[in-house]
Parts: sequence; C-alpha cells; structure tokens
Amino acid sequence: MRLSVNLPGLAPWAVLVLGAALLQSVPGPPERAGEWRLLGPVAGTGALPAAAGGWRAPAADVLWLRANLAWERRDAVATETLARAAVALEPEVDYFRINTARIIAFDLPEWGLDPTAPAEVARRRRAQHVRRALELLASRPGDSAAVLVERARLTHQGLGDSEAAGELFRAAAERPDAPYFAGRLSVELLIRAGRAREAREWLRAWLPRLPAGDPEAQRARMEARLRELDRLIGP
Amino acid sequence: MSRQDNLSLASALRAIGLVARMTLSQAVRWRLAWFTGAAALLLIGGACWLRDLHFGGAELRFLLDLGFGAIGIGALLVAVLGTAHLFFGDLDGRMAAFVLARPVPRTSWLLGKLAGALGALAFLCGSLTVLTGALTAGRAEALGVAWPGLEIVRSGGLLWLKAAIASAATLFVCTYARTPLLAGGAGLLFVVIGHLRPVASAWPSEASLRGVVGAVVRLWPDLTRFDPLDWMPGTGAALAGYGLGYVALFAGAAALAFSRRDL
Repeated sequence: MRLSVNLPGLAPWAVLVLGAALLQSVPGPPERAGEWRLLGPVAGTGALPAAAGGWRAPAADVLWLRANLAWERRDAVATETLARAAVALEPEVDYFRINTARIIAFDLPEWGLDPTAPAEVARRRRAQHVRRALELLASRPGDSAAVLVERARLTHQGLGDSEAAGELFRAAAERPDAPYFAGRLSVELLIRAGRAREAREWLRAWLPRLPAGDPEAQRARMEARLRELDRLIGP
Repeated sequence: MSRQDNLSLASALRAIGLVARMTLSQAVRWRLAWFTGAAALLLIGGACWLRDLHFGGAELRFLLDLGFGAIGIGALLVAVLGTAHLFFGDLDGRMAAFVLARPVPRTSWLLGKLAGALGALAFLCGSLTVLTGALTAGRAEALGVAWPGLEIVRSGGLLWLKAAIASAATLFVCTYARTPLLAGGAGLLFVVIGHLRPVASAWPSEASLRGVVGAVVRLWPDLTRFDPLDWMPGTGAALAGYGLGYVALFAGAAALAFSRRDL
C-alpha cells in the first residue's frame, strides 16, 4: 500500500507551527501558573469559566466582593478561601494580596479565639496567622514597594522582629515608588536592632535622593538625625 | 523589484483596501455586532452601581475591570462570530465568486476581509474604551484619585490585539470549514484554550500534557498576556510583536489554505 502525503496541504500547518515556535521566544509576564492551584476550593463558583472567557479581572472582583460579605458574617473559612482565590486570579494586583494578608494576620485569629484562652495561646495563634500572611505576601517574586512595606509592617507588628522589618523597609525604600517613611523606619528599626553604624551609612547614601521641597520627604529632619547619629556613634 | 512587480503589488493593495471597505460596511450592517456593542455598553454603565459599595480608591479599579471585561467579551464575540459571518456571507451570497472572477488574487480578498474585520473591531474597542474612560474620569475626580488615562488607552489597545488574534484564527478555521457554525464554534474554543494556557502550564508533570498535546498547548497563543491593566513597563513592543506576529501567522496560513480551497 502506498502512503501519499499531500505536502502543499500541510504548508499552512507548517507555517503555523514554525511561526508559533518562533513567537514563544517573545518574553512574556512572569508565569503565574502555580497560583491557579489555589482556585481548587472555589471550583463551581464560576471563577474558572469566567477566567477562561477572558473575565479574569471581573471574576476576581466578584470573588473579592463575596469575600467581603463573608468577612461581615465573620465566616473565617469562606473569607480566606474567597480572598485567596481573588489573589490567585489576579496575583499581580497588590490590593488583593495586601488586604488578604491583613485579614489573615489581624482578623482571622481574633474570630476563632476563645476569650478564656491563656495569653500565651492567643499570642502563639496570632503569630501563626502572621506567618501565614507573610507567606502569602512573599509568594510572588519581584515584590512591589507596597508589598515590601506590608511585609515589613507585619514582621514588626506581628512578630516583633525589628531587624528583619528594618531590612524589609530598607528594601522597599530602594524602590522608586516607595513611600518616604519606609526609609525613615528602616533607619530607626536597624538602630534598635543594634546595627546603628550600618543604618547611618545607608542614611548617608539615601539622603541625597530625598527632595528638599517635598514636606513628606522630611529631608531636614533626616539630616538632623544623621548629625545626631554622627555625634552618638562617632566617626 | 521590477516595475511590473510594483504595479501588481499596488493593485493587490488596492484590492485589499476595496474588500476591506466593503467588509467594514457589511460589519456595520450586521445586527449582532450592534447588539453585542449595546450589551457591552449596558454592562459598562451598570458597573456604576459599585459606587454604592463605598470601596474608596479601589472602586476605580473595579469599575475599570468591569468595563474592560465587557469590552473584552464583546470584542471577542464579534471577532469570532463576526469574522465567520462576514466570510461565509460572501461565499454563500456568491459575492466572493463575483469578486474573485475579476483579477483579484484570493490572498487580497482574504486579507481584505481580515482588514475589514479588524477595522470594525477597532471601532468597537475604541468607542467603548472612550466611554469607559469618560465614565471613570468623573468617578476618579469624585474619589480624589488619579485617573489612569494612559493605562486605559493601552488596555483598549491590548483588547483590540487580543480580538485581532481571535479574528485571524477564526479566519484560518473558515478556510477549512464549510459552515459558519463550525468556524464560530472552533473560534470560541480557540479563545477559551488561549485563556486557559496558564492553567495548562500549572500542571507540567501531568502525563496528558507531555508529547503532542503539550507541544500544542505551548504553541497556542497565550491570550491572558493581553489582559488589560496588567501592563508591565517596558513590555509594550514585545507584546505588540507577539500579538501582531500571531495575526500575521494566522493570516498567512489562512491565505495558503484558501489558495487551495474549492469555491
């Protein structure tokens, strides 16, 4: 039996395959594939079909609104599941990630807490939730300044770790869109952690980047702080 | 290039322009396009109820998400169903045979069809983006937040690119299909798979995604790259190249397939 191949008929497919293979080299956004696994618990809510039809952003918004309704009912499981699903659908939106982390760190441990529980149990429970919130914040590579600031804030307020918080505030302050207070807090927290010399050197390098005319930058105050550190620490 | 080649290129381009103009006027008369546009308009307008929820600055983001979601779904439906309708409308109405009986190359007719469909999509995406921008501009002022005008324009452009890929892919299917229903169905399936590509990549170890199926998934255009408001600075040219590359690819493959089709 002779097998005949229609070569001209295959030409369009060959063009498609070769061209598509070439186009794969065009750089795209960071892979967010892993975060889709988080959508498992909300299967059946319409989130996946909506995302399949190009309605990822509106689907995430609806999940977020539903998470807020669950938050009003103080339904911890539904709140966390829906909020995390919104993050999974739109991992690049800081608003969902930061607010979900705040809910996990500050609201969820209080809702299920037995009022008669010993203080140590409550403290451990809060710290456990803060760690989960920090994991969520750190789960996406290439943090924005806002996410870094939130990580620093939670590390300081929730875990009481001034040194790690100071480093995170410093990393945030290095970003072009960082708020000025990130740099100021970084200096103070690192001094508190016993790294005054390092904090002073960083402040000295950071000061020229502060605009003199912007009251939020508080440049004069930071210059005074540098002089004070020079006097306290010495050369 | 000889003078003869220049002349034939010029006449081919003129033919593409004429077919595109004719296709555009057919698209304007297509009722489903107006219906889809009106539905998108209603969705964008309906998003205004969000102001009752008092979300503060985030409300603007939600408004834009819903607005662009409406534009996206409307544009994709028109891209897929409209392209199939315009292609088979000409074939079934013998208009294609009439045009191709003259010295008009098949490729010019096909590219003219695509250019007309892309023009109609540009009008749809452009007008709805302007409306979304106008709606959010007023709300941004009331909320006291910055109005992301440039981001809105870019998002409208990205949605057009996404719809353009869907339109070109549907045109490619049309060159093989015998009915608009089959072409439209396949076009919609193409869109769904294009949006689910990141999900498929999430399970790379699955046996079903190895081999031929895996290769197809990897070569499929990732339509989620064109999701509005996820703009990453510095990626504009790459994204435009990726989108227009796929449009050119499907158009080229469609032209090759159409050159061998029995009319």
